[in-house]
Amino acid sequence: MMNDVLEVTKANFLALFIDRGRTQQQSMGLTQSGPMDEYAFLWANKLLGNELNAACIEISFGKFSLKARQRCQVAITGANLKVQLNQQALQNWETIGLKVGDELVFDSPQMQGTRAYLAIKGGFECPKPFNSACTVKRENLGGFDRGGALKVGDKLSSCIPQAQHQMVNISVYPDLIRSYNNQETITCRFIPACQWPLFSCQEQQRFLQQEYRISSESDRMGFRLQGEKINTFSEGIISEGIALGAIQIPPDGQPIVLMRDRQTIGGYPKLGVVLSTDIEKIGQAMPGQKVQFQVADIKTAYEERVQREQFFGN
Amino acid sequence: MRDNIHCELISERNLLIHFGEHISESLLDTIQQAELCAAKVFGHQLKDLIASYTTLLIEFDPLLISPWQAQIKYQKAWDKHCRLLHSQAFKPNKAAREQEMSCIEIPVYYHPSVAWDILPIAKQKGLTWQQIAELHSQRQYRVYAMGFAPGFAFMGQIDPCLEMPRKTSPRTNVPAGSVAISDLQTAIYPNASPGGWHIIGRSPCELFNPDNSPAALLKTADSVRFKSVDKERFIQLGGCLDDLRVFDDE
Repeated sequence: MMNDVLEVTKANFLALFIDRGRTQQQSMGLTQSGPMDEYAFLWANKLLGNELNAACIEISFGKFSLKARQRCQVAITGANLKVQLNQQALQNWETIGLKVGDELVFDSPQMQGTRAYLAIKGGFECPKPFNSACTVKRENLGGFDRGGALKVGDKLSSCIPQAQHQMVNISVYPDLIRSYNNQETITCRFIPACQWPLFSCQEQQRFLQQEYRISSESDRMGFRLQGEKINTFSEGIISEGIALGAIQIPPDGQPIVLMRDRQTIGGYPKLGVVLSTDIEKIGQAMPGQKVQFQVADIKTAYEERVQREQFFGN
Repeated sequence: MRDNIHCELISERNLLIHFGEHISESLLDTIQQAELCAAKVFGHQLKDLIASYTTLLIEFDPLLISPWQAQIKYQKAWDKHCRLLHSQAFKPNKAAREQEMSCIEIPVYYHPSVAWDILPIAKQKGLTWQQIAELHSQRQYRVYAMGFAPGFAFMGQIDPCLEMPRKTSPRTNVPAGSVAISDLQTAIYPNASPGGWHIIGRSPCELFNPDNSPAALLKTADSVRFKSVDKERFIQLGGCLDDLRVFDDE
């Protein structure tokens, strides 16, 4: 372990330690959690040759700065938060060597995604309750003070010593870099499942033909969508387990897509499950952005999942 | 034991299994068996399990087993499991006795000073608050599902005399340990949180602590009994009273 490598100099309560999530704990009511943008998260670790599950910092909406107290190597991926190194614009999706005193600033969203990932060589050293670094405020789990986001003055350490010589910086091949455009309509593929057959054809069509808007009442738990009301066959069902990406319809008829910090069980009818490789599109969406849904099948979901894991070397 | 299950693939990594349409104690036992069966059949391919009233959500690792293989594998394993149970003439009495023995007793202080809703409920039901406490503590409950928050157990079923619909507007802060009822269910809030259930008591027990092993006091299918304790005992067991709460009789 290497102590005191970086210090937080500015924070907005939305910068969290994150890894791939907690498993085997949902039976106790704990959420799985995990990165809102898995693709960017995995790239941050891959760029540094880290273990894929190494703890990173998920920085949402910017307003987050760090100062290097030791020479270290980090990687930044995900949204364009107008990141700067000592007041100079910095490229995203690449590794950066920091010197003592360097200041790294994540400014604000530029309509190109909302969440960036900061990884450090070897991964951040942080508490791992139930074997995961994920910080979940409502469960008082993760982070330095049981569920707390990173705050000014926090000293961050890495799991391995940082090389003290100059390192070669590498970047993601341009074709593989995600460009998030918050002005475009997101197309989200989903598997019609769960209570889908219980909705009338008319309501199913209504859901498929609509362009929804992302509500500002969206967070790591769920994204609320606004559009024409979907009439449900019932106000509630007997509560059942909720999968990542489940699309539930509460009595007001406005869909909620359940994200990484979703509750474990719920009693609203569901239309189906968003593909695990598409859910990050919503994770990077801005309030007001448009979303459309498209039917996909398990085969596509499976092939894309396997392809992703194999690509990242799992 | 239910043999006919509906095994649905809802994503490349999730199987949602339906065991029936109605909540019942026998279905609870079935789902408990189904959980054991899933853990056994999938082994290290298993990523997570969520048991609920009538369903079991299984998450497997799609890199280790394809969704279609997982579906067939579970269906076959369950069929086999059921045949085995039938052939051995599964003894529900024995199971019931084991449940009885492993019943968890939870102390509760039912006094109106901490039971914020006990007086209005008593008034509405034409009972005294002591009778509410008695009706609530004389039954044995089962944990039907875990969820809402870490360590939060949905228990049933309470005496129909106590049935209350959920509050129309939830409280923003329900104290930790609050024993509450809603519809035919009862639960204890493990931590201070918002909540829409009616508070009829407070328990000094710690329902969830990440430093304990297991971290949650209760788990699905457990048997639970509430035991009324007085103020002195409640405090002795670590219970907290409200500092200066003025409660009206409404």
